[in-house]
Amino acid sequence: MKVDVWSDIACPWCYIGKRRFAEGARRFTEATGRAVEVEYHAFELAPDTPVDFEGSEVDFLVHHKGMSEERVRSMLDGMSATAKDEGLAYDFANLRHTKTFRAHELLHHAKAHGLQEPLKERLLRAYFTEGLHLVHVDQLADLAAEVGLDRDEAAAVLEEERYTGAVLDDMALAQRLGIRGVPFYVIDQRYGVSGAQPAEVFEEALTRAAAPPEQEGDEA
Amino acid sequence: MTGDPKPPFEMVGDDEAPVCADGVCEVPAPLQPEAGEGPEPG
Repeated sequence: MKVDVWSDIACPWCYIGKRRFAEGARRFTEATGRAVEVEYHAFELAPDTPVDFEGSEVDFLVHHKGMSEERVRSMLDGMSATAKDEGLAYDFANLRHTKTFRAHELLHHAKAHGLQEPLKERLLRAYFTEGLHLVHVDQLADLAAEVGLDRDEAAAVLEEERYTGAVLDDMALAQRLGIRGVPFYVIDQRYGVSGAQPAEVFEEALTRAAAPPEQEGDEA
Repeated sequence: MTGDPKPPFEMVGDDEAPVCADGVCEVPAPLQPEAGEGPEPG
């Protein structure tokens, strides 16, 4: 069963959704014996982030999105509490808000080597829990090496912008599909799931996609 | 990607499930912590 996921490593609901999806997929596989294959696609949540932006999530939302600091802090507190329920330790106090285009390029490189899933997980943890600044080539290459990619090749891929076109293609496809928010899941090219839904929703969507198509005249 | 997904999709689940869009990730009201229930600052 193939699932295409649009998400961003700077998207807190995507990390939470990843946990919930994984649980739904685990239940589906347990019940049906069928494996679930996930392919991540790039979605830049805040493409207006300057490449050299230095600051926290609060700084970005207050100064670039015009939100009040009180509203931002309340939002982030609610997000952290929800993340904690999923076993995730978000640290917004140390998070470095980042333009994520380069991280998406690296995820394409990892996909070409069959390592997209471990890199996605590593980048999310680095961003939300470890406060790493994921815009620098050296930092990204270090993380690529941690999941088994060649460090020098990963750095070269980023320096040469080898996957820029692939990232732009992902984002253009998201636009054509009408995806305006993430995470967004497309299951077997037929079923859409928007947002960090509970695990049972993902299990249900996978189960519906796996069911044999109804034949005309089946009813009655 | 081979075989790009094509809309329309049959949507499954709650239309109001939380998403991030345009750089902002709203938290649904029922998930907002009550005063004094949020994580310790810093």
